[in-house]
Order: sequence, then C-alpha cells, then structure tokens
Amino acid sequence: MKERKESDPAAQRSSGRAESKTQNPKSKILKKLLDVVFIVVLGVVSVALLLAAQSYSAPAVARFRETRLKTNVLSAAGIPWTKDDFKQVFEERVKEQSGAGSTWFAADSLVIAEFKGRGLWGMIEGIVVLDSSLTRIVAVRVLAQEETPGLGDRIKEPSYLATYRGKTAEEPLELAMRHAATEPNEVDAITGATLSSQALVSVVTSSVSRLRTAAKGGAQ
Amino acid sequence: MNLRKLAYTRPWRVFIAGFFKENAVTYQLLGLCSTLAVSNKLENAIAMGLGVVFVVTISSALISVLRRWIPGQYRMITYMIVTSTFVIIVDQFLKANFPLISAQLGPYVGLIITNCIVMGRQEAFAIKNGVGLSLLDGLGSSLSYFYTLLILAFIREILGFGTLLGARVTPESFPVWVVITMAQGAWFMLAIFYWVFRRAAKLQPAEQG
Repeated sequence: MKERKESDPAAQRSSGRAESKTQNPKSKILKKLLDVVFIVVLGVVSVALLLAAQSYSAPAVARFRETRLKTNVLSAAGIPWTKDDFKQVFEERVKEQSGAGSTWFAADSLVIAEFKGRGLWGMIEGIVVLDSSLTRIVAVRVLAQEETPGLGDRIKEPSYLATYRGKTAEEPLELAMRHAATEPNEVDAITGATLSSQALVSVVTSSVSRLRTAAKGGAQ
Repeated sequence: MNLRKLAYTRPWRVFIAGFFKENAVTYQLLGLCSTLAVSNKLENAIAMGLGVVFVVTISSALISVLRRWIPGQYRMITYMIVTSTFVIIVDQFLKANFPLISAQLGPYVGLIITNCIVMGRQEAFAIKNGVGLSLLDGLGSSLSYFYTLLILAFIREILGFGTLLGARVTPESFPVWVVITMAQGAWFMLAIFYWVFRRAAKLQPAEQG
C-alpha cells in the first residue's frame, strides 16, 4: 500500500521496536505502567461518554415504549385512535388492573397483558389479548424482538401471528411440526426458525396462564 | 487554488482513492454482511450509511490524534474501545430520535463495531498518518460504503417493494420481485453492481492485491 511509505515518527515507533531491547528494565516497567494508564484513561472517558448518551436517550426511549404499548393495546382491542389523542382514548377506555403479582389491562370485554420472555437470541416483548371468559386467545402482537433477521424475526409479522387467533387459552399451546396447525392448542411454526417459533409459543403460553390466574382472582 | 491543482494534492488523492477506486465494498470487499442486510430499503440504507460515515470518520480522526500515545501491542483494544463508544452513541441517538428506523435496522447498528471498514481504516491509515488526512481517508472510504448502499437500496426498494422511501412509485399492476428483498436478491444486485463498478473504475482482476 502507498500509505506505508510515509515517514511518520509514530509509524516508525509502532513498527520498529528495536530500541526497546536496549532500554533498561526500569524504563520498561515505566512504559508498561504508562500503557496501563492509557487504557484506563481511555476506558474512563469512554464510560463517561456512554453514560451521557444513555441519559440523553433514556426519556425518549421511555416515551417511545409507552406510545408503542398504548397504541398496540388500543389497536388490539379494536378501539380507534389517532396520533394526537391516543393517550386520552387509552385513559378513557382501558382500565389498568392488578392482582396476584401481575398487572393487566381491561378494554371493553377483552383482557390484555404484556409479556416478555427469552427468545432464541434476545428478549421477545409483546402483548396477548384474551376474550372476557379467558378461554380463547384473541390476538398476539410482538412489539420487540431480536431474532435472526429474515428467519426468526418473522415472528413479529401480523400474517404469522394470525396463527394464534382463536386458539385455546385453557391448555398449553404446542407447535405444529411437519403439518399445518389444526387443533385448538396448535400453532404454526416458521420454516427455518423452529427455535424462535418455539420460544414465542413458550413465552405466550406462560403469559396466558399467568394472566388467567391473575384475572380470575381479580374477578372473584 | 484552482480545481486542476486540487486534483493533484495529497489530501484529495487520499479522499478520492477511498471514495471511488478503492470503494470499501467493491474493491476492499469490506462491510458485505451489512450491505446485503440493510440495502433493502432506502430509509434503512440512509440511517445505516450515515451511522457508518460518522463512526468511521470520527474514530479514524481520533485514532490519528492519539497515535503517539497508543501503546503498540494494545492498538486493537484501543480501536475497539473507541469504535464501540461511537457506535453505541449512534445507536442511542437513533433509539431516541428515530425509534422506528432503529427497530427496522435491528442488530445491524450495533454490528458497525465489527464492520471491517472501521478497523481497516484505523489500522491501515489512521495509526500512521496525520489527523487531517485520516479524517479525509475515513470520510472517503465510508462515503463509498454509503453511496453503494444507496444505489443498491434505490434499486431494491423499487423492484422489491414498489416504493421509494415508503411512497408508492410503481403502478399497482407492477409485480414486485420478492426475491430482491431477500439476501439472495441482494447478492444478485451486488454482483451486477460489482461488474458495472469495476468496468467504470477500470479495475483489472490482477490489480486487486
């Protein structure tokens, strides 16, 4: 490469290390110490910058998460909303309830809960909607996931999530392997992304059973 | 200084080499993974491209500033710390201001850290050259990645989605080529782009060292 011919003192220093052999042990130790100091200072500056970036973005990220949750809960419950009035609509139409250590939302006759669980690579976050009798899944929505792009990340697509519609909430869901889902407790898998599909099934199943226990307890 | 003279100065040659003939994607063959992944839509390509331009330029300049103090045997660690700091700042910036684009880009912003263009320019150029030249070198190389993404995304979004920046541009009857939106389609587009680019830049197979 052309650049290598440049005569720069730094280049000579970093490439030719001949002079270090003639140095006495004392200055060698000093050199090592300076190296450590350099890395430590660099690390401290880096951490300071990252903390600054974090505190800068935290409020906006929190606002975005709130918006994402509220608009999705409204859409899942079939309540119309616009960009400007969704907060108001949410307060009027959705009631936040809690019991048995979990919280959920009641909107019209539907019961909605947030879920979060381990996917193949990262956390899968979303909401699950049950009917008022807590026997059927009305809808599942995935709000955030970190599955493999192009394969596992299809779990977020509404066309795939339609497989959960109308499935039973009374028993654990299972993945239909090598055939289309026909039973009320079966959902379709994604070809090439069995582990991500399985992860979503487990997360949804445990979230549904938690919601059922909590909401039943709350009703009595 | 008139333009003709400018073309023979070293800063200009450093910049234009990275920008055109030594294009990061088609000549240096770096950053291929993210090129294939995020060139499906123009919006993603712009966000990713700007992120890479920012990270490469500023981290090359910073490495050049620090080059007299960077301990030789810990240079890689230094590159990683500097690069990842800037990448996380970009990631946080996108999350705060463009959350939807950030969600679409998924893991690829974080993976700028492992994009070889960044460390390639630091090790091959910034560690041995002055701040100004390193900045121009980083800018040239990363801009070449940027425009390559833009060209691929422009074609792929029109053919694959029938849209441009989300707005519909093709008639309803136009059949979208779904394969173009996938990684396989990206390879085809990239191969065609290589061919056109290498003809335009008059690169011979033997020239690639």
